[in-house]
Amino acid sequence: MRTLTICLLVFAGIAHAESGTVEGKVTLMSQGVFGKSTKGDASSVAIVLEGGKLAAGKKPQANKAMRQHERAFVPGMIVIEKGGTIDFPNDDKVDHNVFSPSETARFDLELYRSGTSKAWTFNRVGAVNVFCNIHEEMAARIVVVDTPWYTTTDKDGRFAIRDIAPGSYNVVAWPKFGDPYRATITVKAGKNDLDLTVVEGKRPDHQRKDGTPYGRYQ
Amino acid sequence: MLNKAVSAIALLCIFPFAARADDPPAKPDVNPVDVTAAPPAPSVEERLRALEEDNARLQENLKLLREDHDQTAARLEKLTSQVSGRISGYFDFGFFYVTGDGSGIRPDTGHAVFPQYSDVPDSWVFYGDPLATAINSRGDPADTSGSRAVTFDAIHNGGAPTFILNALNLNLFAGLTHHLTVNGMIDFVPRSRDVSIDADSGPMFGSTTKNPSALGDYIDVKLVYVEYRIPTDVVDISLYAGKFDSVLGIEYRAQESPDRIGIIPSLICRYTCGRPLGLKARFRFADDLFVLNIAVTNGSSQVEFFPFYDEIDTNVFKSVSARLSTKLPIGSGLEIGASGSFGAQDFQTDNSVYQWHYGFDAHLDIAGFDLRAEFVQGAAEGKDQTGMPEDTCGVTPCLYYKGAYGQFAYRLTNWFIPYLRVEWRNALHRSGESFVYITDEARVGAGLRFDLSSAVIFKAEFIKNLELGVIPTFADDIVTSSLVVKY
Repeated sequence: MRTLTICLLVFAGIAHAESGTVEGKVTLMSQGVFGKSTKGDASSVAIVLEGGKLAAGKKPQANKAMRQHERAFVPGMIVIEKGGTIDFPNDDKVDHNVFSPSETARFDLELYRSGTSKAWTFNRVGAVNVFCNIHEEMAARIVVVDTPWYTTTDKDGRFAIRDIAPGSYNVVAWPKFGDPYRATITVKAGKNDLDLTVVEGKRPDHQRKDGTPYGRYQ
Repeated sequence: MLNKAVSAIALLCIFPFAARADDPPAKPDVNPVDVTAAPPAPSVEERLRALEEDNARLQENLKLLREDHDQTAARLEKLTSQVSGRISGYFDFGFFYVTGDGSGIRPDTGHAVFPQYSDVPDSWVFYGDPLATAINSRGDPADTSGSRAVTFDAIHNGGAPTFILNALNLNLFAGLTHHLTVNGMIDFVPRSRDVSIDADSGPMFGSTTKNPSALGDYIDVKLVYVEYRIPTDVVDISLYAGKFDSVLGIEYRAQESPDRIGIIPSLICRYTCGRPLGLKARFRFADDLFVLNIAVTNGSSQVEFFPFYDEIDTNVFKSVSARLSTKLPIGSGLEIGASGSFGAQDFQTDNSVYQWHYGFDAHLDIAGFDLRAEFVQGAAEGKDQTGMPEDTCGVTPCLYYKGAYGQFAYRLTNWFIPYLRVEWRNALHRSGESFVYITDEARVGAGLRFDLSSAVIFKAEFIKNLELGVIPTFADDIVTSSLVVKY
């Protein structure tokens, strides 16, 4: 038994030593009237390395939460593993109705009041745009992944993904709004640098859940 | 040990027989199966072929299902993106009481307070505010009494306590495409009808009041416009044609009963809450960080029953108005705006008689607090008769005003909102020798709002009107309530 334990530890140590880490910084740009400009807050960009596989039979990760606070989704971006569940607690003192028209996860949590919460489980991989049926300005994005290698940027745009098996991967950087940035990276054992420039689009032009506009008070 | 094993084996052997002894008698085998005649197991090749056939069939089924799904999704997209419609609205029922005679003005009998207007008959010199006794979100005063400028007396009950069906509101919406929509809003207003009476002949058929303007039930077409949205990567542009919302200030956004936190409009709503008719463009930049509205309209943004609103223009010079706002990321957003308008004065034919308005507004929604403040100032310059002193406005009426309000509301819970509003308005409105209105008024209002469900709202409000300066104090305070049911 002791021999087996030692073998496993040695193997894990070798595996860890041979894995790679991808670190870098995202420069987040936005398109303004007078051209592109750098955003001061570069947080909430999702960085995903496609190609990894979640362990078979792995227990779903713990629920994540996307709160409704001051008529905004907080955080505005969540990356979740396939099969994971996100709670949507209403912290405001007004009603909200969270819904998504995205093909990846079409759902409608109906109207619910402050202090209550509803949840949705995401079973398909891809991006999900989330809105409120009452407040047009509320918009967020959820990225559902089937890889263990993902993260989101901090305020300065910095990120790190660890324990990656060496190899070539597609990197996808999802801003909160707009099209994703795609690239490829060859990960070697040890530290790998990756700096990206991502352009965040404007909030999606969207309708209410019944396909009608939000009304004139916009 | 050996004994136990033997015992166990013996039990295992005996138990089936013991159980069988309790079973019903076994039926005889009619078709005994000859196990030796069983077909041979399929070979690996045969099983592989069968699996391949199954796989091909499933692939074909999957392909068909995908095609079905794509067609359904495309059809759904087409249905939701091209033609959609919605009918909504609300019912507004209330109860109110206004002290005094229900009006917000009094004649300056004997020119006792304003001797400088002795060239105008004293019964036509008014102090106070003809719209200060509004009792519902439409802004209808309980009574206009002897008012000569605001003559439409939609309620006219002397302020007596009464139930009132304020309006049945109907919203019509049709989406022709994602970007082209038609909108309408109509109030059906049930009111007393007494068309047999006119101002001169007095009451008839036992009626105790003189009611020259009791139209009876009427329809108020508040909004009718077409909107075309042009989203781009940089800016959202909306183009409007028709009768649309004002671009002055912010109160216009929350003047319908369900949207308004309280019940009655502010004292300055008459200048900013009207719905002009013309063309408008709205530009939204950087996720609403900046919003610019520009409109060219027949008349100003004053409300319809105030005598400076002209839906169909009578002069060539159109009114131009604009508002620029920014929304800062504080709480749900701190919005600050500046707006103004300029054009030929409404309701007259001379292109050289101007009116202008400008104002500033702010709205902050944070941690359950809803704070609003607005200031507006303006003038309709009027025109004097030849040979008459300045500002007598004998040819065209004149109006000089300024006013402001601040409103403080707090969502104690998601269904209970107490609120407080403080207002002030100073104005002079004159039409030659026909009338003069002098207003220097403040008021304090407090109320409670209960959102009983997402569709049912109850509000109750008390308003204390305060005459300022040399204007004598008179009874014109308001207690009003409103039960709103949305549909």
